[in-house]
Amino acid sequence: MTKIRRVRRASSAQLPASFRDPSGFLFRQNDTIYRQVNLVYKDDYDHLMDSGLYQALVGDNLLVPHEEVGIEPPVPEIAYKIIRPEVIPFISYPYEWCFSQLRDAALTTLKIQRKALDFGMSLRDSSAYNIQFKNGRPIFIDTLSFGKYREGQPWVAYRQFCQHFLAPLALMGYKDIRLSQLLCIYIDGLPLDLTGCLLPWRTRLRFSLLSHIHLHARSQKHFADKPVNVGQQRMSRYAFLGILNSLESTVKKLKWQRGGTEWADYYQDTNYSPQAFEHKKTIVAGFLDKVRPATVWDLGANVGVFSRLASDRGIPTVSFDVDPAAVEKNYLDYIARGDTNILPLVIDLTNPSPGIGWENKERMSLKERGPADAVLALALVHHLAISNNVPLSRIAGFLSDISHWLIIEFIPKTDSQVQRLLATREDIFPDYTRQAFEQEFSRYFTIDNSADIRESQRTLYLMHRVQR
Amino acid sequence: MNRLKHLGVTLAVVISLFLIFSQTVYASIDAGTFDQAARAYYIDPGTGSIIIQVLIGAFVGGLALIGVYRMRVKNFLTNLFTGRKQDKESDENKESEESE
Repeated sequence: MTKIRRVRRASSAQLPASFRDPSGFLFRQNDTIYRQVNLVYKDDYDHLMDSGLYQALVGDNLLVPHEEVGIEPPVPEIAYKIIRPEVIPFISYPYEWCFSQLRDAALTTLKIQRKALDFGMSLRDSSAYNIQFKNGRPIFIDTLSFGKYREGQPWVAYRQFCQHFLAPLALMGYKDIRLSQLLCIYIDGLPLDLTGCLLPWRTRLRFSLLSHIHLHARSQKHFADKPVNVGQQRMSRYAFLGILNSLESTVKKLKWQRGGTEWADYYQDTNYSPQAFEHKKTIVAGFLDKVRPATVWDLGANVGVFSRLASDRGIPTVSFDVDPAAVEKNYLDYIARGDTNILPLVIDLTNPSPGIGWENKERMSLKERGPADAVLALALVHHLAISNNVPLSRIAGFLSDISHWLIIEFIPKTDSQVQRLLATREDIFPDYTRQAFEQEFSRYFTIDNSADIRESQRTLYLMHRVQR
Repeated sequence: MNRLKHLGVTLAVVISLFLIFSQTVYASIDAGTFDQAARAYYIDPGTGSIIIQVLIGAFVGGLALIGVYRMRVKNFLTNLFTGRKQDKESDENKESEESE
């Protein structure tokens, strides 16, 4: 009874995403995240630390480093050790990644698995949620995913790899980039039979996709209700490496070509002059220098031109856009530049990521991951107010929930970009005026500064949230 | 000449098939060392997924093995040929040195 009570008490601090694996769990204490390693995982943990695998992975920036600490375990009866993993500045999820981010996460998982085999270990799971982006690159965060490898043992995480990585990548590459959103519905990866139905027939002509997706789905269906002793199935190391090679080459061959979606060439399609553009940059940079925020969220960032103003100042910046093509370009550009402070993500602000999974708590909603110290909302309000009919007061309310400081641009109805949005619909927005904008935002924010952008009708504001 | 070619192709196919299927044979030799009871996996690996994985593994692992063996045979033959040639050359050199 005492034990049950203790477990229950401990679970109040236990993070809601960490309950499946009996090897340990994450918990929060005094605003720091720790991981309890349970006795049942002792042998594997010791092997990870003593075999040299941990050092090799951390040395290659593939695994998040941790420190062993001497604090009281929340559930001491089953505890072996407590570790404090290095903090990931912003948690993101696979349904928010662009094609190349998911592809890089898949390749990182395979690289880790290959390295683990060299040290006599193997990944016990290959969930895409085990990967996060730190300093711009994918990194594995689940220290307890490694189990000792025994000769002849197949890869237990093969199904999960196909469902979490291969299936969404194949659908994005062969069918439509927007199908990544299926990952938000299916928390344990895409069902392979569904993936098989959606993929074009020609994917059956490629051995890798035929075997890892189509035949895999048929095999799952065939053996679904048949009791087979999986432990009887043996696979030599040669075959194991063959599977890893095959998965790696399949992932590498999957490509997505940018098809010129709506906003992909947005910055070549602006209605203001290069002088106005430069002036806008100078004003935003000036506001950032004045505020010096600890973190920045750039909402509606497109390819991240203005996010770069923040990231170049060493500020960790998350760069959101609804267009997967813009996010893809943003990601590839910052990789090429070697930028480490920017994280581009696909987010539809009219329907931001919800809390999903068990009790709606396993994966956090966008709002739960805030507030950011400063939010950039440039050329955004007219999209929300006119294309999505959100009243200005509710835009101000939402932005005040997710930011301390706000750098926001107002574009009047007379601007040709707004006219373009109104071209296909009736103007039912008599309240969309600069005066109404200032009035509504003043209910939630204090306007510290405003500046008109040269050679345009646009205005930039610097505001801070009113204390509640 | 044609008969020789056919024989070569048939031999290659037979060897390939042997190597592919022998993978499962190799693997089954390891059966004694695999202690299933001790490994309690917290995720369901999926019966169908394990079975298809073992089959694909046998196939791609077999292909990789063929690649390795092909290289070995090729290297062996190349060494044999160039080795003989070198031997021949060194013999000739010796002879010419002696005649001088």
